[in-house]
Amino acid sequence: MKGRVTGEVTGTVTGTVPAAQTGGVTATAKAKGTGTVARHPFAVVAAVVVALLLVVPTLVVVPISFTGKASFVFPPDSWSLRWYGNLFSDSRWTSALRRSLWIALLSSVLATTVGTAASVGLTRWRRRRWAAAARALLLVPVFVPAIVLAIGIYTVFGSLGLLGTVTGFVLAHASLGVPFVVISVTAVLQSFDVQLERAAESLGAGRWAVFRQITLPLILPGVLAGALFAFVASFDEILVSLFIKSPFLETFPIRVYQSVDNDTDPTVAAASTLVLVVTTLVILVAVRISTLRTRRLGT
Amino acid sequence: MSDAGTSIGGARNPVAAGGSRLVIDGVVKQFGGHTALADVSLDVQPGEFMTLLGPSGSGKSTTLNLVSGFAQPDEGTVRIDGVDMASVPPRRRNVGMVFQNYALFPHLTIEANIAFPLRQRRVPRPEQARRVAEALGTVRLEGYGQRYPAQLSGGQQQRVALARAIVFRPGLLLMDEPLGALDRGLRESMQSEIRRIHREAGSTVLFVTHDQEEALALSDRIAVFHEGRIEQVGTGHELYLHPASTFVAGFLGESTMLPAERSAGGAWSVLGVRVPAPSAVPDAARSATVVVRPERARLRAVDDARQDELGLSVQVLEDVYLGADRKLRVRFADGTAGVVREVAGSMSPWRAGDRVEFAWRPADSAVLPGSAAPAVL
Repeated sequence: MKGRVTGEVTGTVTGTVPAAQTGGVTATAKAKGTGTVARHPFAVVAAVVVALLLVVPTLVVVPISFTGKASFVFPPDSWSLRWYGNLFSDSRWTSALRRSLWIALLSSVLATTVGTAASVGLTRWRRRRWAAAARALLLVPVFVPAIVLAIGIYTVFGSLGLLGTVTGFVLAHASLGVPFVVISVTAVLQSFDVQLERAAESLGAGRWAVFRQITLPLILPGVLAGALFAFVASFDEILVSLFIKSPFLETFPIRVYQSVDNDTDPTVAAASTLVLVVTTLVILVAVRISTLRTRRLGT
Repeated sequence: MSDAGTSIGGARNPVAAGGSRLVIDGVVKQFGGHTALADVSLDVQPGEFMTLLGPSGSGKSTTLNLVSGFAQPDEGTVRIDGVDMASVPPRRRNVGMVFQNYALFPHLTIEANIAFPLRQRRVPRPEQARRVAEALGTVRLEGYGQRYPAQLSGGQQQRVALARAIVFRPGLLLMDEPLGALDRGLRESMQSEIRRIHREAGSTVLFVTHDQEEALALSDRIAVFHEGRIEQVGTGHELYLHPASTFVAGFLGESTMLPAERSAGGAWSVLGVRVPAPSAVPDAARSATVVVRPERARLRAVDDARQDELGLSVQVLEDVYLGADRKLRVRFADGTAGVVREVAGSMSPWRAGDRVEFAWRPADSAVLPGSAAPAVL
């Protein structure tokens, strides 16, 4: 049951997220390779080839980040940690990193709150068709080309004075994160027994108490997984960010992007490796959570 | 939560003595174009064990939902202790409910499940612990407080659901086919548990089932539902001996139902045999149904007529020996099916294939207006 749920969640992530989401894709490819694919030798070979194709270009930055020379030569002929030293001592990098983590945190909290409320509300909606339509609407940020979204957000934020503000980043990133929350929360809600809410109500619990004490704890794996996906969606977001940034407010990925243009040293490789590690770890945790089946909940 | 030195044991009564009075008055409920309840009225006395009995879709569960507050009547009122429930949400009705699939909270321990209603009512912690321990004692699950629902068997989960529904001392306890998911042996032992708990607690119980044996075993009174109406309300004894309709007669216990007809001259006959004019049938009626319970009929030899009996010739189709009794299925001349039960010590020699007479005393039968859907073999 839960396995199927995860399949849906990660499957959608893989299918819809642009190349920036490399961490997520990697995690999913691995999961698929060991899990659902039959043990036919050809299938295994194919899986490995595909996985390598997906992963290798990404992983090239990792050795480069440890190079001893101030060049991007691959493979490096000497090794050092100096680019990481650079990364964590240069305030342009560290402040961008701190800002990105902060924005990712706020926007994932916002996306999770909105997305969870919407998902729960939509399953209660009697008119199934309208509910399905509303759910599709919430997923729009995933379907619409990012560049169209970026221009739209840029235009609206311009007139609202939100360009180059933390609030603007949080709102924009949260809207990109909501679909992930909706997908993963809706998936866990499908195996949620609505009868439990009735029971709680008959035992004297009000609406909020029912949600707080019964519904939320039982859908928590989906909520947390959604929150982590939303966090990553914000943390490595670049396209929309490029439109709404200001010289005074840049996120880590923007810094990486500009560093590729302006700087000539491999600090950017260290920065990319950092993004790769953070997103991969978060996605792995998210996948783990959504497959997590609390033993006592099994029936 | 610990059970802070509480005395554990089934002897103490966790539920306040005295149940609520429930009055359902002229209730109508429709779903879409379908009438689920058509004018249902029921008066349940404080402390009474009332069972709603009927086939699925007959309206008994809908009635329960109207009482619990998860549905609203289109017409009519539901009153608990004189208070109209129309604007009272489920959580304020103070009605305990046991669901068919138990609906235990899987993420909470047994203790936390049972404490849930107390927590909502902001009962102080020590009091909560004391009452949870008492409730666990009442359902004989001492020592299971720290486990989770999935670690318990179906019967144990059922008891937890019961404990959770009575721990806040509701005046009215609703049970929706609570034993439906249990196997037969367990069901019987749970029935006696429920009887005991009802006796100790003294709360009014509204119990829904489609199982007539269960209804007879548990109830003070039974309301028989059929197509959104109550056909009859009465004790099991009343319903069994004096069914008000052929539906009640057919649903509660086995019976032989014979078609009675009135000739132009006004004489009544059953399959050609003259019978006394039934009193319970309107004068103008041209047909009626004679209901004979299996233990009220006997099979006799064709030449063994007695004066106070009526007899119809039948063929024995099947004889089933059950130890304490024996059941014989018979077929009348027109194909109508009949059944006779004989207890040990007075069993007849007849076997399948024998041609005999089905005999009964008119005083032991019930005559009902209308014709039953014939049970033809």
